[in-house]
Amino acid sequence: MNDKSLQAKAILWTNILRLRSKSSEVEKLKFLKSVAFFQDLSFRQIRDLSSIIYERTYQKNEYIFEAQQPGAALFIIQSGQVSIELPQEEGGAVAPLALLGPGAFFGDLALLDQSPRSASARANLHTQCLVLFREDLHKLIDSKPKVACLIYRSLATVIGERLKATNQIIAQENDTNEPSRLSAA
Amino acid sequence: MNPVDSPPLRPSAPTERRRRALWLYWSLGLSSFALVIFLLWALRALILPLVFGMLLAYLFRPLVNNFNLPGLPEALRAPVILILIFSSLIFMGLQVRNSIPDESGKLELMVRLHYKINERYESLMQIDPTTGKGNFLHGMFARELTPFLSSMNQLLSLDVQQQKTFLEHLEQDSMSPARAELYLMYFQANLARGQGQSPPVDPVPVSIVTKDPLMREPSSSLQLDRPASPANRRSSALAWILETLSLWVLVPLIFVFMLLDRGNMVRRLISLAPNRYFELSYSIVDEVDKAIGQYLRGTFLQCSLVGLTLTIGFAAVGIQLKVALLMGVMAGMANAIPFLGPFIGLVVGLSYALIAENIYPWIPGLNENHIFLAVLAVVAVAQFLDNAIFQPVVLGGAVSLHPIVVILGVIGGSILFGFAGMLLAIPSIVVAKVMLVTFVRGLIDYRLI
Repeated sequence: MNDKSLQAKAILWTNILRLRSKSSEVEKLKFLKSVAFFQDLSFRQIRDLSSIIYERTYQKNEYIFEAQQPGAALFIIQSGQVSIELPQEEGGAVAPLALLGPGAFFGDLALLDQSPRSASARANLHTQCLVLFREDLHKLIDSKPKVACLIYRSLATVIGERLKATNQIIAQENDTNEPSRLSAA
Repeated sequence: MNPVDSPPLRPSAPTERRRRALWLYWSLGLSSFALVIFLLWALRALILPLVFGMLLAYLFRPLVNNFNLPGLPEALRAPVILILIFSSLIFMGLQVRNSIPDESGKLELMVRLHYKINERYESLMQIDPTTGKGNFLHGMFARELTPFLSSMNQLLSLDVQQQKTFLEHLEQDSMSPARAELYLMYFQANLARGQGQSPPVDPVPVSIVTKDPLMREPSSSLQLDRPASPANRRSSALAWILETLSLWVLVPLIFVFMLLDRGNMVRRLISLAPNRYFELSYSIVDEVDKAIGQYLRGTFLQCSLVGLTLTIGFAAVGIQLKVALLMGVMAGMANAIPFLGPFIGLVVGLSYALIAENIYPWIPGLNENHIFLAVLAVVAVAQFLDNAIFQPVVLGGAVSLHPIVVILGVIGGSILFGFAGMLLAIPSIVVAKVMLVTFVRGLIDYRLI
């Protein structure tokens, strides 16, 4: 093979790789747009957001974060499965709280402050996550205030919905306990 | 909720894969460390321009990030702000450069300083030219001060070439006859002093002076430390300028690239961290970034305020605005060096006070005789304002260092890199301290130690 053909192949592969990397970027943007947390953002705003989002890959059974560690980021599952668990005091056992799949997010309270994580997150399968840090979101308030506002609104909505759900659970528990309390009286 | 009996593998569980990964990380880490140390030593000449460019980028980054003109497309923001920054820097640089005297101006200054130092010394000590005896101050300090004065005289005396240049400069039309005569008187007095003669009283016309053999033949003692030929001196100076320029040309390059980078380099670095240390790495980088930015921008603002105060103060006591600006910039920059900075400002001010001739004070009643005390008062007021207002307000929340660390850092910086090392020692120590403290705190918070 002469030098010219080698050179041509090199150029071809460089362009193919470049295209591939561009298409993965487009996939990432499409995925972000499909996440409920960012559904109010336009594609242009998603692109701005994408520049501050990290991509991480976790092996099966690898911990993404552990309970009581300071929270710094929101995690969005791109592929794989994550188990949210509460460590038990005795013998290192854990109580599973939820199983999350692609498109779900967790650790969202870390976007508000640095309070310790209330539970651990473990990759149940080989998992890919997108990560948004609180401090990057804070910086976005100055550089892209509209994008930051929309994300904070989504966060407020999510927390509000959780509060409503918690209230419902408490109300249901009260209702189930009421007859037994009455019968005991 | 049912607790799970068999917990999953913790990250610390010893597996073959993990052991191999650890081995890889350690060998990569150690070889990278060795490589970094080798490169730092081999390319140590690049360190200063690199650090300087990075510090400048740090100073201006918030401006670039938050710059927003209505109607200006986003793609044009960075170029516009860069053009604005460079135009301002070039304008300021030109102003300062115009305030720096040229070759003839330097010779004028040397001659004037040489004459004035001796004049002030003689008037302070009230030395009688015939007996050589003075007042009680002379009796007490003459033994200590005379060698210092001699070395100053030697340092300020002109060599043959400089004498020729100076005399040609005096004959030029640009200088008024009265001023030329005054400088000629200084020049002759200095020469006479160099040869152990008493200073002449009557000035000699310029045209006569050039034919005077006294001016043509310098004292032999003055020739000892001078370069052999002007051609050699010129070529070595040119080589030095080219060498320095080639390195310092890095500063604007680093500055531009770091400003346009928008954190991508740091993001790639954080992405390299293992999953277990990912959040910790980000937190450390973020905190270090904030602390350094706060410290540098605070110090820059504080030095600018001190420089401005001194410029206004010097101008108020009658020093020419151009000279006051130059002295203010120098003293303001030096103020970044703890302890030594204010002293440098004082020395700069007092040096000018020594040679001050025609002053135009804003405060009525001040004259040449008061300028020494007036400069002292201006520097004292600037230092008071700095300690009472500028530092607490501007640097209140920034990193603090122990005074011993500061002194050792400044001395160490000056030994390693001279004046620039002195200037950059404290920011570098602040970076190292913040990194170490944040790293250890992060390891504890994340329960890694």
